[in-house]
Amino acid sequence: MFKIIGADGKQYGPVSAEQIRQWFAEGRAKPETLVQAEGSTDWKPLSQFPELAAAAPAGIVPPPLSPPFSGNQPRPDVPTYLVPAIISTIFCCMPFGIVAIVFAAQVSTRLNAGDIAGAQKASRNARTWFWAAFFVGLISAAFWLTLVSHRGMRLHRW
Amino acid sequence: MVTERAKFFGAGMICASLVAAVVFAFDPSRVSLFPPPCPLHQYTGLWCPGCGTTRAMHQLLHGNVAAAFRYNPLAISLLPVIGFLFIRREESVVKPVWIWTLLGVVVAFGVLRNIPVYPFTLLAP
Repeated sequence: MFKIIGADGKQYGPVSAEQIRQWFAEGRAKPETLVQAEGSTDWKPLSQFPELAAAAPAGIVPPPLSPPFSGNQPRPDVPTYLVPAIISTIFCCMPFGIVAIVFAAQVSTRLNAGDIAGAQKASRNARTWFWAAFFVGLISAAFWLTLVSHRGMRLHRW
Repeated sequence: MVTERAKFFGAGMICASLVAAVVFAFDPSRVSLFPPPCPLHQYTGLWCPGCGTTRAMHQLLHGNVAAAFRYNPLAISLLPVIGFLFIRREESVVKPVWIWTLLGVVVAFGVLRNIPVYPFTLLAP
């Protein structure tokens, strides 16, 4: 069994040699990807493990797949707007915040699947909906204050 | 360099401090003028997942964690999550499954707190 460091700098595993061979063959793990054999404390490049590097992709190298093993490609920064989505959900009392959370989850899912365009689209949707939640919350608050200051009476609470 | 994120963070902190000051000063369960009621609750009578948040924050700012939890356990539980996300600003630390789980929890909370039977009534503010 082996541990492996993904493109995101985190440890994964333990996984079997066969799994790493498969990742290597798919191009998700690279010769320079750091691997640690079970029972050892050294991290060594994958290419130094003959049993793992045996399945070196001959000829055509498939394009790197999604993270976490996408080699040197940095993960594109597509914001999920998760924090404003949560805040607008619990503070604005609006179902729109929940829609924003749905899109935030979509951004994350699509990023992990390598669907950058889809992630960006979901990201824009997330932004639209959390702003909708904030604005509708603000407008209804302003409406409420106007109403109350006119009538000057006790009404419901938040 | 002042990044977009840093500005966002700064603006968030300022807004949060202002809101916190107002919420600290007024007890929403006594003052009827502030804050505005939840429009969803006013028109449908339903409790949304956010209902009780202001009252909960007021209690929390006065150190009454238990009382805060009774008003809106979800909002109180999510505070550390928001804090964590603010500090660890790399989006990649958040796995998709966490966000889907969060979504499930929020929706489930919103449904359960509307069931007018004990013990679900505990979840209503």
